Amino acid sequence: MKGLQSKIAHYQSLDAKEKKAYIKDSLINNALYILLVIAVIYTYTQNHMFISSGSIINIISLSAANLPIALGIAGCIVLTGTDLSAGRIVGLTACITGALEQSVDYASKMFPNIGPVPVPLVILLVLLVGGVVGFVNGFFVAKFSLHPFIVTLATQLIVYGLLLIFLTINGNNGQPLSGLDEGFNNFVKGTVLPKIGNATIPNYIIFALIITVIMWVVWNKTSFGKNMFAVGSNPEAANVSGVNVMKTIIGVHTLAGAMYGLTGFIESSRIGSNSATTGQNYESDAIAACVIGGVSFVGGTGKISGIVLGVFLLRIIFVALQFLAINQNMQYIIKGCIILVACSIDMRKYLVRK
Amino acid sequence: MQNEDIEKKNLPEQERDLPEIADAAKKLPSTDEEIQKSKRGFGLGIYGDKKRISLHLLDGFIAILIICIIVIMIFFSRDGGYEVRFETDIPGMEIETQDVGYGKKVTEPSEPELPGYKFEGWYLENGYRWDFQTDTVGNDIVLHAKFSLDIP
Repeated sequence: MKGLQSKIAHYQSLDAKEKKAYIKDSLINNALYILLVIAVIYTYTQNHMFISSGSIINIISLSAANLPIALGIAGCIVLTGTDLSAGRIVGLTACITGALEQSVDYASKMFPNIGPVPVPLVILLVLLVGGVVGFVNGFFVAKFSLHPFIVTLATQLIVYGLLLIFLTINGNNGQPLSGLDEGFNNFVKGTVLPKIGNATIPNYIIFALIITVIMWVVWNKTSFGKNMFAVGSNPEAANVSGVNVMKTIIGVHTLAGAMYGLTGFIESSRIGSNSATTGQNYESDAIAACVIGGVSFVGGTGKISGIVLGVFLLRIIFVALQFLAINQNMQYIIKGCIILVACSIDMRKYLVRK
Repeated sequence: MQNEDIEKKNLPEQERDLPEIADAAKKLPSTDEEIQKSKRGFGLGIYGDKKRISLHLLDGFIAILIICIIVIMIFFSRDGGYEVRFETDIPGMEIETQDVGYGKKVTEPSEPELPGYKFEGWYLENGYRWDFQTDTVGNDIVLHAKFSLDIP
């Protein structure tokens, strides 16, 4: 409230020309939020179901499923990098989870001799697989100063190749992995919370909350988090100040990989039928959400709350597009335009700050 | 040796205690250009050279994109919803296309008849059998009629 009052006071102290510039700046900087408001109002006028308990729970569920990947990739963006392999790691870990959690009586089970593996073991495995790919990304970026774009592009292809090979194991012949164990599905998609209207709140919303809290602690309360921001702001200065830049970059990418692993674990149950296309283009949505949420490509800036907000904002717009029954092909064009706007606003803020 | 001690006393406290830090700090990039240059050493700095960017042009670009998104959303949103087509592959037989809103169910059409064959149901291209009681629409879809030989 005080902040708003001081903003009003600041606005009133400006002359006419400055007021005009202030309004223009505010409109441009908040362009995506304005777009969100317009999209919500317009969608509601077209389809009243958009603002219903079921639809809101659906938006929250979709956001929760995409939150871990965004939290992971945000660390890479803070380091002025990116991670193009994120979506494929999600796909690989989702398929690994799917293969290990198929029910015993499923006809085309990939590993017929293995029953559903205990869930904690699968979580450890996906963390490990994601973490190893993340470590490889981080190692090449930190050790050889290779651009993260190129390194993660390469690992994206490698992981995709591994995924395709994995899907051919035991004569599976690339078929989608479905028929998941009921216990596993209940663990991820089941609910321990009471219903809201007719809508149930799946457990993976709680998982996303826990992951968000952990990442907040890592980013804000640990020396690793502080080192990450220091390296993102200025690696030379961080190096001179005694920060182990290489260790930090590798650590951030490894943590990001582990987050993609968790996303894959959730997605395997949420989707139910996992194939080579699982996780495809997830990284673009995650990067867009981060940039919308204020994680700048300039490096060294970003907040967990901003990422959560960015994920929600993007998901609201995407669900609105579905409610408006906009053609899928056209949805891709709109998504691309939103990413362009988000990056342009980020660049604009940087230029104005300078 | 004595002169060195006197010089040390004149230094600020932190630099006196840790002269190696003071030396290192002098080597730090101070100007914005130097900072950007130092970032490039790590293969980063994704935005590149920012000197030539016009703020007005960027503002105009953002405004145009936002307007384009709104226009596309309004122009391409369909009141009727997604298109659900039915394909039977039977010459002369056409089943009316339905427009179904997002999250709503498709109305089951009357069963197509093909002499000598038994109708099995409506299937998506990926082989999924559409359940008219529970499945809802989230995109344009085409449902294909599936027949099997009717052996008495």
